[in-house]
Amino acid sequence: MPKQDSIVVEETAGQLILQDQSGFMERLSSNPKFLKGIQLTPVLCWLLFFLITPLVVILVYSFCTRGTGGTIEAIFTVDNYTHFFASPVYRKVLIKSLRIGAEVTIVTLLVGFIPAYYMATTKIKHRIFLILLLIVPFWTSYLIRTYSWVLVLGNKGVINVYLMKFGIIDAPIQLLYTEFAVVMGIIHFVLPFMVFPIFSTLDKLDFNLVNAAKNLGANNFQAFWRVTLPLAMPGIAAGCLLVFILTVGSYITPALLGGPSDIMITQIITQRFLTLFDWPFGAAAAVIYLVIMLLFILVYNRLIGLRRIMNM
Amino acid sequence: MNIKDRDLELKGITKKFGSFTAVQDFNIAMRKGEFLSFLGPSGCGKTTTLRMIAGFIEPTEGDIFIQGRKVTELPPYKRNIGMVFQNYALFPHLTVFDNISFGLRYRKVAKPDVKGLVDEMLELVELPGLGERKPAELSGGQQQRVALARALIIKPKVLLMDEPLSNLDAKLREGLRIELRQIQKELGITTVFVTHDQEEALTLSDRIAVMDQGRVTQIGTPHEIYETPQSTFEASFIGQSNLFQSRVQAVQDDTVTVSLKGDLTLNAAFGDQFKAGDQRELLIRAERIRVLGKARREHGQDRMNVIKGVIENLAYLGGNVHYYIRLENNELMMAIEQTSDYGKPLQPNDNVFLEISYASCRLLTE
Repeated sequence: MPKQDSIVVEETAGQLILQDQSGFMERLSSNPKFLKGIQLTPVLCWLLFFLITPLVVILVYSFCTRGTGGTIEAIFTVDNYTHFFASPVYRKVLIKSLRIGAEVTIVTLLVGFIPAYYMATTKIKHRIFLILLLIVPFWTSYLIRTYSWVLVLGNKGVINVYLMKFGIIDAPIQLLYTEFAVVMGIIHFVLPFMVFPIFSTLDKLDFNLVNAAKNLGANNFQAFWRVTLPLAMPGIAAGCLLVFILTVGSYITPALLGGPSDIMITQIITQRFLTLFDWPFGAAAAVIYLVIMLLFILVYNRLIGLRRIMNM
Repeated sequence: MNIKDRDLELKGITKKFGSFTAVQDFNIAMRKGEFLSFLGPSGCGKTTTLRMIAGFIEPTEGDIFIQGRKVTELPPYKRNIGMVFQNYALFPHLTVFDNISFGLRYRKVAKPDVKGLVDEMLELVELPGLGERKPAELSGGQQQRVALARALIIKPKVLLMDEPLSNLDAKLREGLRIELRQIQKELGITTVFVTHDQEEALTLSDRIAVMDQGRVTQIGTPHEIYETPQSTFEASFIGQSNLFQSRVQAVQDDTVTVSLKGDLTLNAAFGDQFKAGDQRELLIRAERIRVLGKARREHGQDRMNVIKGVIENLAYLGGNVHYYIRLENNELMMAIEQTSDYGKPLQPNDNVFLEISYASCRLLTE
């Protein structure tokens, strides 16, 4: 048989048998599992290089000791972790970050639901304009957007100037560099992340269902409560998750708009790495932050079900 | 109809969207237990009218009365009307049980009684034991029944149905159609049924209101609508009809002789209101034409029209055949005949004789 043919046809007892005489490479390249592996490899390499490896590095650092002058000594220690939990400062900052996360999430939900609902129920032309309104701010640098709050909340900012002008107050109130400013700044940033998922879910809602509920005797509020709201839950769940994670992890806003007592966990981490050259402790703080967020997602999944969000 | 007997009444109902009039001056009175269909093509205003009765849309003019009480200003949740939507509108996040019992919460039904009522309803629509399923797990026909149960359990004064069978396949539609009517008769609920399917309307209704572009063109029993359509629109919409331009040649007693294009002459009955020279459309129902290979009669014998033609095309539908026949005056006529076991089946290009009784030919008044 000529060697270059890979398929050979033989006759055996009157029946034709196809005999595969291809080599190893040919068989390998037609194996579906192998092909899938080939397709995934770039992605896996990327993940390995840019996600897994840095995480492992940070994890290793968190168990190292800080040498004098800011070097990293390869001496195993859990002191970084114990120090973090033992010291009330860091505990408080962690709890505050989570608290602000919860506050912002709740406020954004209440404030963001109405525009989302309005957008989902209004005319198409109107809707596109409103979506644009939500997106356009993202075309500006986030730093500059956050900084613009200084012009609003500062002692010579818009609010203080006009309040004094109308004689409501005599001296400017401290609005900037407070927790209030941080919360405002964060809400300003995360609001679209709440509005869009809710809008997206409500957009798919069949409003005939609301009519059906009303037809059966539910008034406007009852129909909303029993039909619209439950069906909007996937969007609400997605929005809340996004907003919470973004809030706890925000750095620029608390750094720019917050006072010294408004430090959040991200600032602790950055401080340790950049200012104090204490990479091991910073790494430990980062790991703790990461673990807590992962725990949060696990609990969230148990309560609400991430699958529901993914089926949105 | 006596004022007392008017269960559902529409007076002068009109709906305008800006400059577009969706419904114009709709007037009707229904008696209790009556099954009335709104029949018409898409966009004729039938669904808009239904939604006005339900209370989802406010009429621009006119009033709606249920059992003598004016409900025009009332919101939908105060009207005690049951509605079955075209796509069923079952609550996807609730079980069948919760769907059906949804309306009971607003009607002061004691908690322990709810289960009994829901089970009763499930029996009525022949879905026993499916209470714990979600709508997504049900077939189209089952979903339809749940929608019906949900509407009926609240014991509404009026039942509205917006093309409830359109999304089902033909076999299912026919079966469900009959069940629906039986349940309706059993419960004696005044029902308004919106459809574009004339077969449905003819089968189910006590009366039909035919609509075209916002206006009611005719209200009558199925028999009246089919046999005596008032206008070209109804004639062409209901049943399979042939319509020809014709001119009246002579009238004798109630038989009117008309000539079609090319001087083809036909006789029609019920023509005593016409006079020579009138130009009207002649309606011939396709189902009433006999297509024969050989002539059995003379033209005019036994009050039968007999004309010649050639089969141009035919469509075999199993139980019947649609023939497309080219007449001597070059116009096309459609005839529907039942298939049979005897006789040689006719083929395209065959010469045929068409027998049409005088009574099956009708001149339209407008």
